[in-house]
Amino acid sequence: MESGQILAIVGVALSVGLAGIGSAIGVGIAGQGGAGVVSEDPDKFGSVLALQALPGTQGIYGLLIGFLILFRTNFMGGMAEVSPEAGWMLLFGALPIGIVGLFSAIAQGKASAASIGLIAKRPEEFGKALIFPAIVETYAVLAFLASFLVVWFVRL
Amino acid sequence: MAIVEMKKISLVALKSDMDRILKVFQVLGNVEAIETKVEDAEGFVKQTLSESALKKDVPLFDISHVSRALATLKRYGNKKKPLGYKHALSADKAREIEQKTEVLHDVVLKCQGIDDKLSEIRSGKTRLNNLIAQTDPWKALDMPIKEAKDTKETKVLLGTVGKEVSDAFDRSLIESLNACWFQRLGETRDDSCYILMYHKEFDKEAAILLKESGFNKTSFTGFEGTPKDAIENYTKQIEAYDEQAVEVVKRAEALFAHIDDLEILYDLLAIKQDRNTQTEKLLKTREAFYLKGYAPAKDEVIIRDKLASITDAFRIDFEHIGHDEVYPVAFKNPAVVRPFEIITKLYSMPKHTSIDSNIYMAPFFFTFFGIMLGDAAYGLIMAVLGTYFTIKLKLKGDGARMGWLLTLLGIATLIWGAVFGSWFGDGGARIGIAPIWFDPMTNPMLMLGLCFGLGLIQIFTGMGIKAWINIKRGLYLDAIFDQGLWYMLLIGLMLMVTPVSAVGGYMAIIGAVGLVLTQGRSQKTILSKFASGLLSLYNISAYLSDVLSYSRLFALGLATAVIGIVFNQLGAMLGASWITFIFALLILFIGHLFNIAVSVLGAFVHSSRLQYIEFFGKFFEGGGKAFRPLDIKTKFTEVLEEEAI
Repeated sequence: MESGQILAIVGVALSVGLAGIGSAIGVGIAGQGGAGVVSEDPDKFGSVLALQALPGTQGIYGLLIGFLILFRTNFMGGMAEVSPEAGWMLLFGALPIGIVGLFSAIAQGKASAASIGLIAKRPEEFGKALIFPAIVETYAVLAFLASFLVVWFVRL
Repeated sequence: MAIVEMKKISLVALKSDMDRILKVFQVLGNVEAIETKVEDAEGFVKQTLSESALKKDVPLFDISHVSRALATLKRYGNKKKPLGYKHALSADKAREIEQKTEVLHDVVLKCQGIDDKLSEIRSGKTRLNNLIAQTDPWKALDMPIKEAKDTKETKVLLGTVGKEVSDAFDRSLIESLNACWFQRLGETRDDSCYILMYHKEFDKEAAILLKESGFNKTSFTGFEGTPKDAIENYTKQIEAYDEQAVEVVKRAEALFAHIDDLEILYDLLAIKQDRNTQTEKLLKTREAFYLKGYAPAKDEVIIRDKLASITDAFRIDFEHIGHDEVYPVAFKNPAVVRPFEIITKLYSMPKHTSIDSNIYMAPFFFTFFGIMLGDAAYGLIMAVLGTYFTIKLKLKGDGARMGWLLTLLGIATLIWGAVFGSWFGDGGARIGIAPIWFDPMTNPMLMLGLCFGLGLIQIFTGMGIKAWINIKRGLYLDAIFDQGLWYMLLIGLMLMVTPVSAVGGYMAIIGAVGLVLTQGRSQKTILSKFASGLLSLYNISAYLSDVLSYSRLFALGLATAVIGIVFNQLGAMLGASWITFIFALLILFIGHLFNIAVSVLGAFVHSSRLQYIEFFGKFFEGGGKAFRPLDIKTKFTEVLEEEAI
């Protein structure tokens, strides 16, 4: 196996792994708050669940970039030749969503948990509660876009 | 289109007509009564509900009892009703229910009895099961508990030590106590259970040893025979409870026939209760009452006519609302825009002096959601489900708005999915369906351009609305300085990269100089005027980040497409023989369902965000209070005639 291919797979591991860790921690933080609120008022389950799910998207973005790398290198069909330079580029292309995903999901989880608290006190303000975590997500979206552009247009 | 023009109403009428008048308002559904103050009308006083004339009218039972009875009956079976079925409530039906009041009251009481009995059975069974769990480890003790006590010469002990020390406990018993006998009877989760006998002579040594090992004496209460007998006894009691439960459920089943009537009764009581709570807001004398509230100006004639049709002893005034008075806000929009009112409501009702922006927001939300979900097949599914459920469930009010919103957003998604050639991810492409315009994945630069272009249009629209609000208020200079100059600067900057860059350059310079000169106009000293004018140019970066924020349109659309492609790929890798083909279908089904759920949530949240922050941020004035008229709210029924309530 040549180094380019290995580097590409490291990229897959980092984007899926780091963003996934972030999302797991993020939804975990939000879920703890959510369970508390639902124990008081089970009717709020729907809106609380929507808020808890928000930090889950980073993990999905990470998986997507990882999959795109596998797709670009035709991994499932026996893996194409990847030059070492291209391998490095794929690896670095995976890093934005990996790193930003990791930290933004945790931050978003905290914002979500706070928003869940907001819902507990003022259920009618769901729209506003949704916005605070959504603003954090902006940066994950931007990182995803950057990762996508690099991975999609690297010349192998 | 606009915020509905309201008028302040004040009504004086006879107390004997009060319920009928409130009924009229409830049927019309366009009057919101507000809390009155004693100063509002001379000679009137505030009365609580218990003193009010309606007292004789207070129903035989509380609405909460009816709802509890319904819950009890439905737990043990429910007549299958078609989805969205509602009882037709005619005047005859209402009379029929009223005649049955005694019977239904009896049913409600019986349901309460059933509920109480069942919770008694449940707690009894829990108690017995706990006792069994406690006694079970001692089953091996083959003697009645009452006989396991000290004799003249020996000490008899029943008790536990921790599981992990029990082996050591055994050894030390054998080693250090001469005349002793013990047996391990069983184990609980953490402890081993012992029966232990020794000669009283060794009391001291034994006491030390037992203390060291953490021996806990167990005392048994509630039975005297062998543990085995006790367990048998408990089991029998549980069986008796089970028999009782069966009998109680049978009692519940006998009442099933009344479920329909109870449901109608529930709605009738709820409607009446809505009216009764209104009476608390009124002022009263011995014979008359005074009501203050709001109603849409256009409904003045209808309200007058309706009141006149039931009584002539009333006086109602419709008063124009002054400029600085606060009044509740209601929207009036064409049917296509109405579902989008939900989005605005989730954020905030606009202030009564502001404007209803739904009609400007709706096309943007429609477009953005469509692009972010961007899959024609998903859109089709949403539109079909949205239409089906809204019609089938006969949704009303906000429920109907939600249902039609789903349909409309589904249509948007269908359109944009077809434009981008995305059907179930790349499912359409695999069978040769070409995009109508272009595939964002192969032409991302065009896609980003499209996103930024749409963003620019929305931001400029938002500024335009603010300018219009300023003009409407006569603040022409604000409109020119705050919006006009920014238009100049921003459009100028954009033109600088086009062939007419010279024109753009001049525009930008005029805009920038104008902003520096005008943006500090509220400051006091010349120096701070100039400083804040200069600082305002920093807002260019805010506009830039606003536009870049629209790149999320592309990113979220991409996420939907790629998740779809991943599942298609997984499915395609399997589908060779017929058995794997079934697995492939399963993966495709679950995968796309997952994708719809995740992506719809994402698309909704981010479309909302673009409205709330990038769009509303330019002009929206929130903090209004929604208009909440007294109306008919039902859960199980559809009111056919107004005489029914």
